[in-house]
Amino acid sequence: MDHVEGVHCCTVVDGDTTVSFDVRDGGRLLHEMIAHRAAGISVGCRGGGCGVCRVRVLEGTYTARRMSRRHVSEADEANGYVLACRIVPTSDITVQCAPVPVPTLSSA
Amino acid sequence: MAMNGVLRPGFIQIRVLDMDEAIVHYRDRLGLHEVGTGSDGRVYLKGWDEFDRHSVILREADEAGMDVMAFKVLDDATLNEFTAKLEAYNVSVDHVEAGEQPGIGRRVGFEIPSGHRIELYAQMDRSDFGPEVVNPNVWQAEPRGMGCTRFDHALLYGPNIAAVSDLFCDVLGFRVAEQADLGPGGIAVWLTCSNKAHDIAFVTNPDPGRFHHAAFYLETVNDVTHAGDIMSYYDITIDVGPTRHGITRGQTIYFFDPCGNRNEVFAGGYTYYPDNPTRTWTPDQIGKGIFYYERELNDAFLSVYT
Repeated sequence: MDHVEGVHCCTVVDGDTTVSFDVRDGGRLLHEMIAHRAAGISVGCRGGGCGVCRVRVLEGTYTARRMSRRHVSEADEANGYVLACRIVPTSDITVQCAPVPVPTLSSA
Repeated sequence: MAMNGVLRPGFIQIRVLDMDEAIVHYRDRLGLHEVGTGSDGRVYLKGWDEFDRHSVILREADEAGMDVMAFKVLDDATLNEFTAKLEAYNVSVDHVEAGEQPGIGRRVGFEIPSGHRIELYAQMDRSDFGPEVVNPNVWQAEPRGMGCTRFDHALLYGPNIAAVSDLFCDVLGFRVAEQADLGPGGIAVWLTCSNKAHDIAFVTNPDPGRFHHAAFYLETVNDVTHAGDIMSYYDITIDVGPTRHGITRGQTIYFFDPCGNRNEVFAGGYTYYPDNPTRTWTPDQIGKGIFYYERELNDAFLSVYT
């Protein structure tokens, strides 16, 4: 994708599927996905609490706001795991879905 | 109904990731009154129609969720009675001295089988910002934002819900207003200690100690619609609603605070009496029970919590 000033390209890798959408400068990754009617990352609380939108950043730079440690440990964060609702890309970025597994009722 | 024993939900302590954002949300959007900040940084709030000093406590932490939900009991003798009953039921209790929060007496705390901390207390200071008691106006100052009147109830997720329900009923005198069979391995219970359709509710989840939502009461369905107007104006993330619960019959919106804790505005709901039979929902009708108009659960109901 050609570079457009003030817009970064986000590519979401989920298994064999790849989805791309634009992220406006200063925009949060997950919120930009929703605003552009794109999909690829699961949407939860949108506030860094529930962990549903957990991804691993494979390439690119970003700033991150506080994320629940329950879902992104310090080691995770050092390895590029983030919650998509809490990061603001500062370059083109490629992420891989890494959701926290949702437990099933029958495992209770 | 002579209400004694456990009177009602007293307070809930919620963990937030950013205190400044949380204060704007709970004070200016929900319309709670900001009572003050404790020496440890916890922020205390209350609804305009509550007499006691505080009912919502925000604590900044590195993860969202709920620290504790507490119930107010009739008096100190009742607190002693419940302590003895809990110990006789083999529940390990601990004691929190008066003053651990401003304006509250001693508390008795314990962990329930779902992994949540519950506390009981008998005394809290009266708020200067509660309902007037001599020639009372409707309110002391006009409500702000959504105008939430009080902290109403919470829904908690965790394992061992049948044991939790037994503990609340056998030891604390609650009753099961409604129950649901969620299919293999899952149940849900709506428990009341009062005339309300529920004061606390639980849904099975393998993950202990999880927080689904804290609910704040509004007087009418028009107030729920107004709350929705506030949510859209301020771009607050709505989970579902406005809609109605089949369970409790309350009108509702589920939405999220800025760090992902789910809130609810809740109006109506039927009046419960202790001789009422338990209402039961079967697995094929649970969607209608939770969201009466949509008649199906949204993906977030079982998978999004803090």
